[in-house]
Amino acid sequence: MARSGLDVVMIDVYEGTDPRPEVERFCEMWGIEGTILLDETADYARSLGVRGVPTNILVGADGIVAGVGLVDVDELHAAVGRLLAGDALEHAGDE
Amino acid sequence: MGVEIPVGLDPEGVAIDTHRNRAYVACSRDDFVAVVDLETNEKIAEVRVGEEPIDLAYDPRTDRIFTADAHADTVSVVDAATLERVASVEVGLYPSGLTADRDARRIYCGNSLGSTMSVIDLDTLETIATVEAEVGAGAIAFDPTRDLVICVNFIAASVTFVDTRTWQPIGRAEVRSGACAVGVLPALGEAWVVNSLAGTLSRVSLDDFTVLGELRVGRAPVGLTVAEDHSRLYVSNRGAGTLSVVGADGAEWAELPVGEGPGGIAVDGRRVYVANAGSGSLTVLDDEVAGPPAERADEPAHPLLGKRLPPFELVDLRTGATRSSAEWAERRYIVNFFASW
Repeated sequence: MARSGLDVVMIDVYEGTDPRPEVERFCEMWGIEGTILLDETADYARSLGVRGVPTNILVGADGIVAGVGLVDVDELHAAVGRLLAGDALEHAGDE
Repeated sequence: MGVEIPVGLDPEGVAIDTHRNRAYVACSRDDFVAVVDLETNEKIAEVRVGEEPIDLAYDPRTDRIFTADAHADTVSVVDAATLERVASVEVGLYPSGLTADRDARRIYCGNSLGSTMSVIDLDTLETIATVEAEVGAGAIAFDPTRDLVICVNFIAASVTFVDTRTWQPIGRAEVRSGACAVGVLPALGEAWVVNSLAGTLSRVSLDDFTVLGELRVGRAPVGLTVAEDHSRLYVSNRGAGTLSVVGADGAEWAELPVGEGPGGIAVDGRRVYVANAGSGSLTVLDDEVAGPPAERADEPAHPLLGKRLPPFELVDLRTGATRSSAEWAERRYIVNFFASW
């Protein structure tokens, strides 16, 4: 995803206990780097209508949500492709 | 729609004791089995077992509960009358799947990091065999009509078929990524395997072990149970927070909301029980979806689509600083919600 110019913001949720040791262990085990935020109460997830994990939310440069769910890799790549293609069209229109 | 009962942290496996009208739920982050009274819909006891119990089975004849304790490399044995742990059986590395064959008097345990399946005598608790499977061995089902045990290998994305007369693997099928649950439809001659990362079910022949087809279900499916009459299957969709009811013809009859991050499922002919890892609860639903809908409604679009992402302020795991969505203003990004379990 980084190659596509997209940032990835990972948000941990549903730990039910102090998430830090659990998430640190998880990230070390799977070699996960980058931004990891903690939604300890799951309030933010619930406010978005997120009801489980994993859930991906794709956000455009205008802050508008372009996709929700997108767990399947092919599905995610297709949604990212559409977002980038839309951006390219907008920029072409600016020229 | 149904009731939701708090049980403990990260509940995964669930089994029903119809005689006592209880549910037993393996709460993997609490290292206990939650005992739920299904008359009052309340948790009435916690039974300490080995570290990280993931899957669970109940055997009415011995009146025992069994848990696969992933971090302890054991199967705990609990007396359901006294609610005390009475034995612990050593198995392979990281046991994560458990299935009891009550007629053949055996319990099967998939050892994920050991890449093996342990076969244990339900009555004597002796280990009868340790069978080579593949990495990520976990969920197990059996087909007594074909003398087969079917072991699903999560990491290898494969299925191992074992002959119960020799305890030797006799076949293999490649499925999709994240294979983590399995159910058998003997009359159809098929095993249905849940591919959690692919979001599908693979239908695999029990006769020649070929993959017959693939069905799409809800987002990130992880659990599967077959109805007692084999007319339908229940699939929990961990990413969507739903339970799919799928007919044996492959059509999805319904997708029902349950708790957050659902996983383990049990049925007793009257109700469906779903353990929700995210919300730490057990959902109890009446088992009333008996066929496909008269008219299929289009799946509604998620309400967030096309709207501005609501702002957030959340703590950064690595720095402890509070970070705001304003940092990502005018940037394209993906928010990935995840859990460590």
